[in-house]
Amino acid sequence: MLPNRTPMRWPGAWKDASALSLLKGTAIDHLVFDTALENVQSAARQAGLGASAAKAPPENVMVIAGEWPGFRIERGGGAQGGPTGVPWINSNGWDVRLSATLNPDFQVWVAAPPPKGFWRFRGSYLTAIADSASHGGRWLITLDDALAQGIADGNRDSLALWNEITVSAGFFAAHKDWAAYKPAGIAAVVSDFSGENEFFSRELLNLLARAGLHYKIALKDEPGSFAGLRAAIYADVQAPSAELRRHLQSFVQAGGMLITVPRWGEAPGAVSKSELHPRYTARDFGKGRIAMAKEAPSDPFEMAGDIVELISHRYDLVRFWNGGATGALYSTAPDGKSAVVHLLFYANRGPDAASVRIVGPYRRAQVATVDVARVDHVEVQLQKDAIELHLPQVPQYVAVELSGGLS
Amino acid sequence: MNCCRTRREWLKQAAGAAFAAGSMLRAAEGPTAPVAIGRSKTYQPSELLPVMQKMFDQLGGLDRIVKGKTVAVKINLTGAPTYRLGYLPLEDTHYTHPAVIAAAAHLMSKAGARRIRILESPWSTAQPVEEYLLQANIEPRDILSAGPNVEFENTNYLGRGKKYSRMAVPSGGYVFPAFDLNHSYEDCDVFVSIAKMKEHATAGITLSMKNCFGLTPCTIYGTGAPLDEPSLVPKGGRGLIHAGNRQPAKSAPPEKDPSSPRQDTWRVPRTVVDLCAARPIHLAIVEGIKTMTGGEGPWVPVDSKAVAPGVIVAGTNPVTTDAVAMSVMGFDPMAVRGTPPFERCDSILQLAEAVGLGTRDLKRIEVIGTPIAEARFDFAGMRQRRRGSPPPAMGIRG
Repeated sequence: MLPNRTPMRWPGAWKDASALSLLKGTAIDHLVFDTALENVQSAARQAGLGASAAKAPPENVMVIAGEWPGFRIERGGGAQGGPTGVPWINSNGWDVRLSATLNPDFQVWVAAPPPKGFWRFRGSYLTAIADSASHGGRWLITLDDALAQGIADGNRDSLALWNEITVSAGFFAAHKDWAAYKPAGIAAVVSDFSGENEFFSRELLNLLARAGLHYKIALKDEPGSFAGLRAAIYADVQAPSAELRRHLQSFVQAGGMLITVPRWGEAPGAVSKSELHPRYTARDFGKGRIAMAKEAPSDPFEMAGDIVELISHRYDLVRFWNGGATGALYSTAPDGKSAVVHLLFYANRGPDAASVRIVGPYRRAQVATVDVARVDHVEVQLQKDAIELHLPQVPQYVAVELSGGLS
Repeated sequence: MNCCRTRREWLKQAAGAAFAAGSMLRAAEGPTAPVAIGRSKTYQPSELLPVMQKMFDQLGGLDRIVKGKTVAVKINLTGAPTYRLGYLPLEDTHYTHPAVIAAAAHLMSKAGARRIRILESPWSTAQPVEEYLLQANIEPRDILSAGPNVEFENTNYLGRGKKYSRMAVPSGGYVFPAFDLNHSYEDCDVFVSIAKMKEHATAGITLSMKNCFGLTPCTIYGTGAPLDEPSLVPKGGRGLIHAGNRQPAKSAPPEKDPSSPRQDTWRVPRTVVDLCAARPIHLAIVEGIKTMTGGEGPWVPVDSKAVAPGVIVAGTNPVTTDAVAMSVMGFDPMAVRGTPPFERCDSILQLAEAVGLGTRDLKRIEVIGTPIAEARFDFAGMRQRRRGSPPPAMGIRG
């Protein structure tokens, strides 16, 4: 993924170029304008900042319309349940990753302004920034009107929040090296993610991420290597090409599991003696298995749940306790000797006694927040093939930097 | 205020009146059975297995109960698997410890059980129990490998059955005349409850009988159950049993009297007794080697603490077993509503005794093995001290 700029939508409440002084010393290096404001744009360019109209993103940038990240609150204060029984989390992470996979020469920005009447709490903007940035994109910083006005008026609380926003954005801008890291996964979702497959395949990405399953996005024309994965998922409405079929079948022969749908056609191998799942038939093929849905799935929610069960939580890369509504992206350095696991806690405050277990060969861990390079009082427990961290009170985002890997 | 006070008083009086008529008589009539107490400081099989073996021998031998039988074992995995008390493993605080489950399964297998089925209705999911355990960081293979014939089933929905089993309450029931349960609770010869020794926010204590609250499938008795037919998968907890704000799905028997009190502290103890009458317990095991004080799980808003009483209690009658376990916890098993640990609720033991499930009168219960006084761990004293302090601030937890 490409190293990214740090974009911000110029607030309507900031009427003249003097407000550019607010950006001095921050990582924000590109401004997006809804209205012309030629004088401000010109001053911005003179100050070395990029500037563009909202309708005309700069070259090599794609802007996706995202959702305000967090979990949905029902009327009355209850959280809506999701596929795992935990609150339903809106995250743009899967979309950032898919967009970057489909458009490898583009930076991905997420346009997801604070919704009308949104409840702003400490960490709201941190969550928005980290949700996109941890997945390699950038949230187009968009201040709510009251905050923008407060900053313009010099309101102390607003300025403190502005500082939090710029510190958060600066943290990710300072870690350009993470752009070279590759997402770790236990399964590949294979599709063209377009046409007739667009809705179902994208929903699978969204729902599997919500269920905590770490995956690789594989384009069916160039699926790449499946080495190290436990499963590959193919649920497109078209039968696979002969080449893709061969590729996936060799993955199964080598010990992987293919989870697919009747459209796949006749599967090789012999019927398994043990039942895998009531909605799937299982065939043993080589060292692996093919799990084929008995009926073409119509509901990605159901299929995502089935996939998680078929693969098994035994192979979870990241497990949380006391995290509330959580999300994680685990990515490894090109040399495999280090990794970063981005942990997101989508609530109005971070957890006070969360534990996280991360599978991998790493024996050292350092926890950072956007403003503290090394969080104190983190207990690290080494386990077989995993590391468990006991976190003190932390904000809604922390980065766990892992090292000491055997590679 | 008058209304509330009157209501509370009414509840207390109603409970008192119900028992005044028959309780003492029933107490004398309620069946008794010996209860064994064992001590184990750790969950190491080398320490635990001999202790449990000895306890079962003291009760007359496991083979007498399980030989050639299909044994259903209800364990306690209350709450989401992502919820810990602080940083502690769930099995050290509020889940039945897998080592105890494995030891029981191993000894049952050795005693000739034909099939051992480990049952639980995990929170809001139809996924296999094994998957639920993995999320809690518990290795299900450690239990499955305890014998050649051990398996799990999630009983929070239809599961592997073709239809729900209608289980009637012989005495007619306090709240429900019958329940529709997962087939596993009918398709067994022997029913075992392996509970964790804990206090409970709604029911005062949770021991072998309260563990059976989780027999009810949330597809019928859950917050997300449809009005008419069971849902395919469970959603939410058993709010409707707690609050009585609606009836179960119409496919199942409704409550006997929808005008009865809607307070969870009245309803939950009675429903538990109805369940224990509908699905009698043949072997009750209460595990308190490591557990927690203050409630049934870390979500209870009190200053809960992890503790290590190092004790196991087992018996063939759940009322006598729970009575001894209560006494080990420092509580009086003869306690009634208004006294610890039933300050706000009715006593499951008293209600069970009143319908003839067993006696809670320690004078009528033979205690084998470690004497109660030696095994005692003072939950009651800690409760008293805790209740004198303000509740702690709660953070964001899973």
